Amino acid sequence: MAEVMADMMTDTTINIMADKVNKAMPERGELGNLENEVRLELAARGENVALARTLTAAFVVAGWDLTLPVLEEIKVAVSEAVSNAIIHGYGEDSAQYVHMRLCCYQRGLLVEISDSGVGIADIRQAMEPDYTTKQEHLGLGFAFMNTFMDRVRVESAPGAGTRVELVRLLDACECEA
Amino acid sequence: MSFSVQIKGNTVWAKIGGEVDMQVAGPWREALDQQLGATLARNLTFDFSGVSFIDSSGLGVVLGRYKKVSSRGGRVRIVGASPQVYRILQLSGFCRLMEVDEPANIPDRAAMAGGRR
Repeated sequence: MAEVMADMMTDTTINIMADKVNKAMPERGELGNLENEVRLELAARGENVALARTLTAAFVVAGWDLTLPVLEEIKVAVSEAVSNAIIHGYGEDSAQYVHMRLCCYQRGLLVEISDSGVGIADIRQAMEPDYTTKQEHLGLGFAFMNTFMDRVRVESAPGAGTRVELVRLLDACECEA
Repeated sequence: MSFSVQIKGNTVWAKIGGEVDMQVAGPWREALDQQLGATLARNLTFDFSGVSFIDSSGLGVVLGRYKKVSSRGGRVRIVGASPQVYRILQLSGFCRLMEVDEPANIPDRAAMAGGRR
């Protein structure tokens, strides 16, 4: 497994350097004013992963005129974060809740996904592309988040849950009518 | 979401449709393993023509089956991926690991910049 994954991970696009762990969050003001915000609580159930990414896509489309690939990237990143919260944070205990915050800023989208599950002892290790604690999981979740979003911030401690902040900078449209 | 498995000659054809995420990964993995365990066909082809979304949970199932099949000397191929799904397969290194048919229309990077409504 390690060999296969190591081979896969030489693909340049997904090579995550150690110093990219906790990609710097935007400077204060980088995102501009907060223009819209939605907060959601989702039961930690597999079917809600699709709901989370679909709601995110709907939220994004209401604020920005995006191409399909950009929307797809945002959906994958959200899917990974919510799946992580359910599978790793809560061990698929559907009595728990995943919290989601969608923020539309002037210059970008911020998605916060948090759980009050088991937490992560070593965030740096958890974000390594081939690291996984579970069989049949790729360890690609954080790699995808890093690849598809401009900023990824993870806050966690054992027993204290995990909070993931994803930011995608979206330029003002120059061709606005 | 729907999946089916058919044996055609020496190849197992695994078709899956819809959004392939953690919700469908488990049942799909079980169905595939059952078929792969019961057949002498060596090769595995994933028909992704109905896949509208895939994330690392879905890719985990593909990679697990790839390892099984290739360790027995079989070939693994993915056909019918949409441009968006193909891009995810590229980024995760799958296109170098197994045979993945290129979609007809690959999205233009330049046309991908976001714009504000």
